[in-house]
Amino acid sequence: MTVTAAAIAVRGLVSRRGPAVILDGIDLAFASGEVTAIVGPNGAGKTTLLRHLAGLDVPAAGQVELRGQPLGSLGPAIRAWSIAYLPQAASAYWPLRARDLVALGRLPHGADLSRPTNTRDSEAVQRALHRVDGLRLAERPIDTLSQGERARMMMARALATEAAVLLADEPVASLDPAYALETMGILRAEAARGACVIVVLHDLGLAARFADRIVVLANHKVAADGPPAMALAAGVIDAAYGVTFRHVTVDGVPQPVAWERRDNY
Amino acid sequence: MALRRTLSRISSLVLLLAALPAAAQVPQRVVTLNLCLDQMALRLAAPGQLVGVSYLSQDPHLSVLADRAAAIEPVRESVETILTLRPDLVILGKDSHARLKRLLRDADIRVLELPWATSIEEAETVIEQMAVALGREGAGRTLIAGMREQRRRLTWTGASLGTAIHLEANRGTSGKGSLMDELLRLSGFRNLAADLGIGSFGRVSLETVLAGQPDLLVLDGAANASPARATEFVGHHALLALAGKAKLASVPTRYSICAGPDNFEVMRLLAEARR
Amino acid sequence: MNRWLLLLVAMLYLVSLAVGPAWWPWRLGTEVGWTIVWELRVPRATLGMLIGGVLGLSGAVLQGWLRNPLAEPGVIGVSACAGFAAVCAFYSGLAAAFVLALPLAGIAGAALAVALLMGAVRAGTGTVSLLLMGVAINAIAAALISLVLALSPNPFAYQEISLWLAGSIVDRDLRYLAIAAPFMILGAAIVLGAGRWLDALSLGEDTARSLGADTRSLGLRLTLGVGLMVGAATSVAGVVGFVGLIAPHLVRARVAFRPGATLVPSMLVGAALVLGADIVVRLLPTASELQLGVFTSLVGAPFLVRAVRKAHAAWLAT
Repeated sequence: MTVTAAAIAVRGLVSRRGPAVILDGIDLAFASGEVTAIVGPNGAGKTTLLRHLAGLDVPAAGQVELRGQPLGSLGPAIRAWSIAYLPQAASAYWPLRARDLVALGRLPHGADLSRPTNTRDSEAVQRALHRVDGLRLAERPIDTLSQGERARMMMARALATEAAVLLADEPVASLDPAYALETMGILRAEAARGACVIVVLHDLGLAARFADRIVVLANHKVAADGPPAMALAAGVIDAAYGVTFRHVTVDGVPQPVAWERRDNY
Repeated sequence: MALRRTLSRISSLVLLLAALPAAAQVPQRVVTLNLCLDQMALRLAAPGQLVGVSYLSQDPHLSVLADRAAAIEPVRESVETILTLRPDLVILGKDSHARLKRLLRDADIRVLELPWATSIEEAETVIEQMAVALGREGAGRTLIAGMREQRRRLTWTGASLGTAIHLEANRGTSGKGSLMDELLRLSGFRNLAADLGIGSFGRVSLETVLAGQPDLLVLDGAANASPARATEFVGHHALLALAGKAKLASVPTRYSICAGPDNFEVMRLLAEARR
Repeated sequence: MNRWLLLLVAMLYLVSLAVGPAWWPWRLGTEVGWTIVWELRVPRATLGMLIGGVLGLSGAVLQGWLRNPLAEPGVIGVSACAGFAAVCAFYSGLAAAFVLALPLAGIAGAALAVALLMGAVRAGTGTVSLLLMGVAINAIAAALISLVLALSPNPFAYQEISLWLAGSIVDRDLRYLAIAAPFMILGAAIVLGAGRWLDALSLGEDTARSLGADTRSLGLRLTLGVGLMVGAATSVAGVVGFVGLIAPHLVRARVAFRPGATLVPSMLVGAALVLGADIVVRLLPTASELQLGVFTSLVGAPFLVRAVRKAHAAWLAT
């Protein structure tokens, strides 16, 4: 993986909120066709990193680069076209129809929901609905959907952009195992189609199974970065989380289980 | 306490006066608190007798005697300001300021309530009552005699001169039973607003005015001089269009706002307009 | 739907031209007939249509932007601020000296109120915080209006301003139309193209930005647009309340709750509402004509109560 091959990268990223430093000199590059999981304890700066990648926050130092171009120098239209962002606990303020909600993902392509959509947009919406297995729910208002179904529609909205980079902040939080597995499968499929998928996760087991690469953030820095077996090794995550893990391996995939707090941490 | 001393001095004065025969009860320091009563008192009172008039009387748009009122203390409706003038008689309108009157009576100040006159005849009655209260019966008789003479001279005795309507700010008009109604009739006009069944302080839409096609429009042409939201009515295009056909009489508000000797100026202006 | 609404507005406009105390004015002669229709009824009907349109549109814009079905120029104090600014222009004599001072002051007042609201409600768009903000802005505006009136040399200021604030389009002549209409039309043009970004905002500000919305310039644009519309409308007609609440309310379910899709229908419904209300107040057998704003408030306030109750029940309530 060379620097120029990176779909998106951060260089020396420093992020501050008031006097507090949230991210302290992060250097990361993310390749197309890969799923990268960002894990770490609460307050490590995972969400902040994702917001910087999405161009929502302005770095105090360093920069985010999209295919080698500084993100700040690109207009909002190009940024939106290239990067899809699914925030944590995504919701809508109005009981929109599911298909309309998904179609919002086509706004970066110039779609206007008040005008007749062109075929490319409606096909992309249809594809996105199909990928989340949501076609039969498409005409329902989202307030009549279950939480899991609604989360799927939010995911479909992000997919509909068909952007080169897909950022998802804890997409499986508060989902039952079936939905969680399905969601991770969808992200995997996006990467298989060539997208650069970056996902913040709390579930290390899911991260190990579905990610090509895991970045562990702790204390505002990158604590580990590599394939699951390496990044989730005993010496790394135990210190990062302040927890003693039982390192179980299932079918050759590490499945760390948090066992007890490390009081002397 | 200066106030208490003043109060006790006033009350002792009142007690003293109460003991004297009625003829001697001529008030020395009089305050009037109503634009229309101010206008009468300014004409009736002896020099120095009137020590306070309502602040409205100093507004030249509303008060014919604004220059004379300017020499006298302007008063707002607060007991404290009135007490500092040490009045022995306060004259107010009949149906207002109940609380103020009670407080003044509590302070042992004589309060005279006079009715709101809505016709020239009623104004004469009020002038008579006020003249008695001020001990100025002679001045009252002279004023009333003058009014009767002017009224006789200015009343139109010929055939009806057609319809007229009085227009005020906020689409206001003077309907049946109002002072302007009487003045229009005395000047030989039929009041269109009264014909339309509008009461004395009614409102009328421009369309109604246009549809009624009055022969004379009566309005205060100077009303736009002071910034007011609603007097723009007077400058409305449609009204100007009508004004091309109808006659126009500009009657300043100060002559028509109170019933009294100033109303004959209105009749003079209406007489001018019919020529 | 828009086609039917357009037809309804056109019909009400024609009815508005036909209704008045003189009914068929040509029986009074051609000249008076034309004067009544051209100088009185045309400005009134046109102003009613424009004012209703921009108030309905402003309601839809504010509701989309603040993501709150209770946002309305009157309820949240935008009209009151415009009213205050117009009162200032009036009693300072500025309006008499310079024709455009009145609408410009109204626009400045309205824009200031919108900016205040957008700043304060940026973080949380909860129903309660929004309404409290509206209560505060309304109270400040009312107090400032009283202050200006107390300083005014005109002894009838209180009476006439309470009449004016109650909202009316009676006897406005063509000059009023000429000074206010361009601003209202400009404001509408500025906000009408923002529909897709209001759609995006239904996912929250962050997601909207990730979809390419430049929320800062959008905020400026909407502030300017709503300021132009509500400011110009209020400066010629006083406060006509609740139109901006009712209009989007009536159309929302019919456009599947898409904020951007409520804009044009809300504008048309608003125009129809004010034209209709203005016809009703002319026909009501009251001694003197009921103020238009009084009538819309009488009809609209129950809508607010219902909307508050529904907002509490709905899942989207905060």
